[in-house]
Amino acid sequence: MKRDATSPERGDSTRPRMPTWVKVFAIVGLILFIAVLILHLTGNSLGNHGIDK
Amino acid sequence: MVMPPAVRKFALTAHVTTSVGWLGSVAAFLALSIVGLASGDTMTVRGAYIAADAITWYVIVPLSLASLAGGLIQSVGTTWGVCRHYWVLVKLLLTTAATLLLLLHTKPIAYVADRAANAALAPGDLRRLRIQLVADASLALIALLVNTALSIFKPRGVTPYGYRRQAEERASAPADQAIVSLPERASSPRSPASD
Repeated sequence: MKRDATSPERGDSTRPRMPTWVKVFAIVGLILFIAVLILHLTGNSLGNHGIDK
Repeated sequence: MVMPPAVRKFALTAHVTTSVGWLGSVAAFLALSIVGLASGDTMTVRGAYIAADAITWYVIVPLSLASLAGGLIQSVGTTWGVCRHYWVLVKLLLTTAATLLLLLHTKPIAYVADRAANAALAPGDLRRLRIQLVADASLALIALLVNTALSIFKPRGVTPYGYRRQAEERASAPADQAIVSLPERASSPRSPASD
């Protein structure tokens, strides 16, 4: 069987783990989401985007 | 439902064109928003925000929607799939988020352009909003650059769903037939449909 980029990193019998880069992306995305949420809740963004200010 | 090679290449061309076009138009919007924020000349500020509004509605929004649609077509129409590989999934999430946020931000862009068209904008007028336009365009540009990098590098990683599908395909394949899990199985003899 041809080994390819989609094959499990440790062989066919082992479910592949989530790659590190995906975990990093998820963490960064979560941080950004929380930051935007905090800005929104403190009235700094997203709602009316400063319109009428 | 794998697309024939000619259709796949056409779809890939359309997807790459719209995606790179989106990136370029966001870069142009960023330049206009910076000029609008930084310039002290009334006519320059007015022109920058009016142009930014026009570029948003006539270039950025159509290209973003086309890019999103093209990406979905590429995913569904090739053996890459939508949820089998992490790089595809992350691209889809980034594109969807960027498109939704863009559509949310068309209103403030139009508001600033309308104010600039009807009266001279002093440097302090709508300052927070004008700064936000620069910040939002910068973030969008970063997201699109990340997407471009993901498209080229295609970092490794199969999702649990993709792993299960591969296992099913291996199990269902005849014993004397080599299974190739990559989209090399697609009709193209070379590397898979990729962008």
